[in-house]
Amino acid sequence: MSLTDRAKWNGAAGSYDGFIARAAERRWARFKTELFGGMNGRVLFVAAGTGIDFQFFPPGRSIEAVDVSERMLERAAMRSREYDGQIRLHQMDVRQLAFQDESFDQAYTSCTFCSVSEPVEGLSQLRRVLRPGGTLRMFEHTGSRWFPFNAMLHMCTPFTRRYGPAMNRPTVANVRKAGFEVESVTPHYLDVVKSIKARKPAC
Amino acid sequence: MCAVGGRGRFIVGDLLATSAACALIAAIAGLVVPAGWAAWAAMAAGMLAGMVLAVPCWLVAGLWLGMIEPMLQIMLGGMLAGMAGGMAAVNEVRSDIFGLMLLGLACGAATSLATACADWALRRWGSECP
Ligand SMILES: C[S@@+](CC[C@H](N)C(=O)[O-])C[C@H]1O[C@@H](n2cnc3c(N)ncnc32)[C@H](O)[C@@H]1O
Repeated sequence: MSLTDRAKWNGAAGSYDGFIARAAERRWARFKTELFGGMNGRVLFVAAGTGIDFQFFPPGRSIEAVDVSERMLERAAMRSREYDGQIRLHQMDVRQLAFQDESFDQAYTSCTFCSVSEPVEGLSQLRRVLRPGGTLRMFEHTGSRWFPFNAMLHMCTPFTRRYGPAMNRPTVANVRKAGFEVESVTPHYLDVVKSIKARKPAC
Repeated sequence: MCAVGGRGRFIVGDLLATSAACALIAAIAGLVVPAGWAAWAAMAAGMLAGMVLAVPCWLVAGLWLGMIEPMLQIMLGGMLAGMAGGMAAVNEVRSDIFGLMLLGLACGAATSLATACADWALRRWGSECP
């Protein structure tokens, strides 16, 4: 388990809801509701964080939600009890998932791969636990392909990475590197905030 | 399929926050850059001051508007407003604080509107569909 990811997010847990998440949730609620609305079958959700995403899950689903930070999960526990369905929380590093191969129909992520230290390793684990043809659905902020936004994001990353996420991750390229087929990329803000739909090849 | 997303209702909030932050940044940059400096040095110093001052403005605006969108707009606008403030300082406009703020306001509004247009254009044409 990565001490750096875990220690950093344990440290951020106390201020996360008030400082980072509240405004972003209002802004992104619509996009997340739309993306998570497709949850079906056995679902893996990475990373639970403080559980602010749970309000956007469709009711009645059975979901395994993981996060590397126990402090984040403490906060998520209360929200998981409010969910009209089943959310089981696991403290787990996405790079070392303790689930069996091909045991999930779908994997969802939400602002996750800006924060995982070795994103391709984590994505490869998601590929491992998904069944062939299983779907990956991601709501992520990433680096941009366009000037001057890419320059801004590169400039900010050394600062933001100390306390939270990196701002310049090439997440769509990482998804491909991990062996997924990218189905669609829907930009929500510039080339930065986006929904990514991908699939594990059927064979 | 590449769908086109949308965010419309936050554009005004972003515009107001970016304009206000840039008004402040231009005023401060205009006051701190020494009048005797060469134009290029005043611009560079103003831009640097803009970058630094944009950070607290972004953190405050982010509480209401989300972290990512205001970050891009206030950082970009702040650098522009800082540069404009620095230039104004070497051109002896520094005593007119309202002029400096108006200049910053214009930089902020222009940045915010240009970003909104870029957002629209990138969602329309710049998608990275497979
Ligand atoms: C930006 S937060 C997003 C949380 C939540 N999905 C949200 O949108 O509010 C990133 C989350 O990723 C988790 N994380 C970071 N590295 C991780 C890893 N290697 N494995 C699992 N979770 C990780 C952090 O603990 C944190 O809760």
